Amino acid sequence: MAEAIKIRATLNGEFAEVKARMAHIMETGLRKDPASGQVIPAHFVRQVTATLNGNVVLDAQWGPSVSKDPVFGFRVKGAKAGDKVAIKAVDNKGETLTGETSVA
Amino acid sequence: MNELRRTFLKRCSTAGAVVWVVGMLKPIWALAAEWNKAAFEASSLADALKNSGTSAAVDSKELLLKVADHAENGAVVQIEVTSKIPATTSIAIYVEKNPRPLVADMSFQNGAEPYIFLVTKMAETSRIRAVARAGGKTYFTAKEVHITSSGC
Amino acid sequence: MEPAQIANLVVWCGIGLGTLFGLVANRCNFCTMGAVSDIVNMGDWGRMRSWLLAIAVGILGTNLLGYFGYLDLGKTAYTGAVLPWLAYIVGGACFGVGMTLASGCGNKTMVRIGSGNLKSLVVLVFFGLAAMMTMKGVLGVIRLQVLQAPLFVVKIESGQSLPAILASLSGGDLKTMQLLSACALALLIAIFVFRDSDFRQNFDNKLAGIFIGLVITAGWYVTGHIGLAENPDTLEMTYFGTNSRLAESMSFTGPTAYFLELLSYWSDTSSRVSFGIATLIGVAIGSFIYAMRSHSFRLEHFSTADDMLRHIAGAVLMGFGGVTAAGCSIGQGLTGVTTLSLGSYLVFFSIIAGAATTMKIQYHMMMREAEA
Repeated sequence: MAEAIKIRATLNGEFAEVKARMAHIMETGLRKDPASGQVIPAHFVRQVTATLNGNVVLDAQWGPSVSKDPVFGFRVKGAKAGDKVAIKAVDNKGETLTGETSVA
Repeated sequence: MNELRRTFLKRCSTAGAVVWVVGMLKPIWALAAEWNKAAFEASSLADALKNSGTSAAVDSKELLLKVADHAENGAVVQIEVTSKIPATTSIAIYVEKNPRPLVADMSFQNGAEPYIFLVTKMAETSRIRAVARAGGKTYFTAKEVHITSSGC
Repeated sequence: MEPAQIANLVVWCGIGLGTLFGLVANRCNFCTMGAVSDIVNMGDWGRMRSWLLAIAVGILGTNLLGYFGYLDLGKTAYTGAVLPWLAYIVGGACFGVGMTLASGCGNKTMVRIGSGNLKSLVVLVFFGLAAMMTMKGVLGVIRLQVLQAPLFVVKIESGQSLPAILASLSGGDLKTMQLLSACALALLIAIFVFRDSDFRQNFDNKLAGIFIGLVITAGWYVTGHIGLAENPDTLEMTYFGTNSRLAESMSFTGPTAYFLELLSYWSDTSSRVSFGIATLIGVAIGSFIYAMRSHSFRLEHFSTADDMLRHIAGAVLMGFGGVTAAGCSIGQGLTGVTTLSLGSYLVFFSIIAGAATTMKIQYHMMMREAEA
């Protein structure tokens, strides 16, 4: 089931400033559970794709060093108010998160 | 006999054309690049750079890395990278002393600016390195960030 | 609004509220130390009733804010799950002893500074220094390793506020519990306060009680509602303008330490004037305004070496006690108790016990000297 990615997209001059936040544990796979001594398996987002009106603008690969509940931002030139920004994140287990908003 | 062959050939090519067209209609998400396992799982900066193909990057003043000198919390270090190098196609971020130095590698298309904002974990005081690919060449810049409490 | 603008607004409101607090406290001679000493030395409950009235008004106001959604009472320093009871008892008692020796708590100290009292200026510096040493410095070792050792800490899963505990025990709704317990407690306290005919006729005590209770409520509104907004960098709801990054109201121990820190590290851009520091300065300003208008401003100094030693020792005990108890007679004893947090009530009674014991000892020593 896809969970929401919180996105804020505002027009700043001739480009859209986009900031997004998603809830994800971003577990590195290198930590040990203090109680059991077992290694906590890796669970982190690997792929993030962002589109503007359906066209891919950002194609990102992430590793486990990205922070928990990651926040990231990018800018797109030539965007107009009302344009649709959509973001999809896929993690190493194949689970996906999505979010969508319009440029304000 | 010829009638049959002609019809058969026409049907095959139509079918072939249909299969070809359907094949082209790949979901837009599937155009995303393959995850570079070797680079992301490298445990040393040198290996991560080598597996990303960016070991030969040259220092550039046109690559702007904005990050605090002192980060109180190593779990959330805010990084901003802007590339003034023309034709920049991607920016990658490394935390040199992290157990997994390569943090992220981001490509820009269709009007996206060569700019990225990202929060990363830092295990200890370390240099943060930004690497940009532009016009077939690679460039980098780095800055030391001190942390008070570890993030990993 | 930009985060910087929100933080500024919260800080300016802090100066305003602090000024009002200082003005009224000076005008009405509101004093938590004085409240205890009046009872111990003269059997007069007037100023204690005033303090209790402020608490009653604060309890009602604060929990109404919570009920109507203007304040998340779970997001304060007083309502967490961790209850370090030994630290609270020892810290509260030390603070009670300290404020007696130093002629007043953090709030009274600022009021006296506004009136020109140089003794209180000395107290302020030692108070702040001792607080800093207890927060992050050498005295902090005793606090963390002995007083707050795991053996002496209790965890209350639901949070230590009375409504939260009642809600988890009865399975009832938190907001309903907030409303019920707040109204019940405020009513009980108000009945006790107004039963006394002397109090009913005393304008100063009534004014102070009601006004200060409203100031506490306003503080929660400013930090917990006005100051709560989405941080554009992290897209998280953040409390802007406070040192604790949570909702706050009147408190003077932490702010004194942060104030000295701010003065020392001004050029470090991460240091900012916070709500707490603003209220601290505001109290002195308000008191000064009143002192000038009533022509009561007078420079006062230590009369003897003994006087100075007592004040310094008191100030150090206040700093240590206030940080260890996570608040002073105002921080815990007025603001904390409005959240109906169990820990705050523990500190409240410990402070009074410490102060009363000290006053009794002082009285006996004075009697013995008189006889000699």
